[in-house]
Amino acid sequence: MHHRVADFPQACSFLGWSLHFLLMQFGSIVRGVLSIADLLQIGINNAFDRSFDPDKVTIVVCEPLLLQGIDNSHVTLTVGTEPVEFIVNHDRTSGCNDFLESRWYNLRSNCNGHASIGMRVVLFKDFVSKWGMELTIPPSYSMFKTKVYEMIYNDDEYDDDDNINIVWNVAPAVQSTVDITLLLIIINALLQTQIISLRLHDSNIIDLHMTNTAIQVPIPQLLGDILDQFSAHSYALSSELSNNFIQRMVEYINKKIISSRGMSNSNHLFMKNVCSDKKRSRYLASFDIASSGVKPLPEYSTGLTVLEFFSGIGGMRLSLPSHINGIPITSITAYDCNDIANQIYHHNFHINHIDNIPKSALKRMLIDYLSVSDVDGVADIWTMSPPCQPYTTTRNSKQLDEKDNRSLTHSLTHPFTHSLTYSLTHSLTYSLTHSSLILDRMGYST
Amino acid sequence: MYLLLNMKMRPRWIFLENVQGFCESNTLKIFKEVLRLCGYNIKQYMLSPGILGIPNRRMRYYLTACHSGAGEAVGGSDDYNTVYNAIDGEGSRSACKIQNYIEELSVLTLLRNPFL
Repeated sequence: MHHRVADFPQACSFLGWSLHFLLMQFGSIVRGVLSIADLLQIGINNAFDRSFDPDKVTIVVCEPLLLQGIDNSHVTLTVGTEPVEFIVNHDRTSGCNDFLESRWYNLRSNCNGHASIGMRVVLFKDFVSKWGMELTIPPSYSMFKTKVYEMIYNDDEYDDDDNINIVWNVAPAVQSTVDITLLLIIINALLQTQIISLRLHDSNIIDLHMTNTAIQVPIPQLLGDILDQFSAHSYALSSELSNNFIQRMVEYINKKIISSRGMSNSNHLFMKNVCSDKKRSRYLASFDIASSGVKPLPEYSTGLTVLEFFSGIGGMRLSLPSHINGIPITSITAYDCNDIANQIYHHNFHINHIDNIPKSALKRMLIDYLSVSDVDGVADIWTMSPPCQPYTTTRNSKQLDEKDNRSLTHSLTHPFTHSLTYSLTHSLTYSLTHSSLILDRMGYST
Repeated sequence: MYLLLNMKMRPRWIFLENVQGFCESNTLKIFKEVLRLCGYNIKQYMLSPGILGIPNRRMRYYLTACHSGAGEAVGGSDDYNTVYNAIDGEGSRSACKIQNYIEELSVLTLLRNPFL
């Protein structure tokens, strides 16, 4: 099982520390149920809450994301300045809306009523059962990890229908794992308190807008409050928290907000989900390509639509003919995540009135963020010139191939439509396990 | 790629270009498999401007895919393994020399204008 081993600064061990502590204190983990939520809840309530439904626990782990709004089907989070839309996971069997209904586990039962504090974990049962995300945690949480691995990979004891898994993939570039976790906690807490919106306010304060109130909460205070929810033994953790950590947290947020992704100057974040071996069959079974539909050939008057991926400065665009099989091309949409490239493309092709193509659009967008409905039935032609860096054979080239974040297979890891799509930091590794899985599925021996 | 797998109305044509190294990559294997599952017939090429007579060697991999309308690709599986490789100078117009594109400077011109 592949996972990144990275250097984590000392401060990030605090959560691991707390988890270790919790594990030790409540040694027996409920069979089939092990989650951060559990542990945190154990910590908070000082006892295992029997109302806690082990069938429904999943944890969404994500980078610091700013929540904008919730409706029944979408959640929009702003990452830096980029709004990212999450499509809510729908339970195919029951048709219920997993995201917004009762699958929120309130971990703030001991909360002193502070509206902004509490811990709740987002639950996506289907997400888990479909995706069975792999536990990838820093080595400092080894005990936790061992436990969870046992749960997940031991066929006898583990029924993946009922299970929680998720943990999170943490990029080595991330300064502190615990940052992510805590911010996740924050966000979850905020969600369950009907926070309408949340805005990071000069990286040191979060604006929380609730139904009738708007308050400003400094992030350090949030963390402190959250920490208070842990058991009494967390005092030591508190001090550790205050030890430079808050400042680092703030810096971390700052960094994430303004960080760029390689050449693209975008704040996009990626995440990889990995299926465990056990989940593979379900994953594979859910592949449904029985429908082999193709967009019908349009009339001459309608014209052909082109979707251009990785459009860059427009080299591929230059090669597009004006007609194919006698049908004119009337609409070209180009996607690229690089602002500068887009500017050049725009300059070259004067979007919206080029040649005889009336409809032309240039979108700054990460391929990863496209959903099936964005592209289904839209285009007759796809052109793409994907990043070649993963494959170049020049000296010093990294040759990461599918392991590179920019590779095409990156987009294969995304869940199906109606599942949660989200992202983590750009330097996240692409798990070898996953590529093996995909290749295996495709019939190649790995 | 998951987009392709999940779409109901896929594009009729797909065109992909990448560097030579892409040809042997795992990503391509996966992508080809996805294309095959979705019902595309493909052709692969390894081309260079040299074959068109342009004095530049820049090997690039090209993949063209056309939807067959059927569930799985109807074309032979050969297509998925064959790459039409066009090496510079073989079976193509002979490449021009770059001299053809460059004005020849006579010694006299240079003497007249040494800064040319």
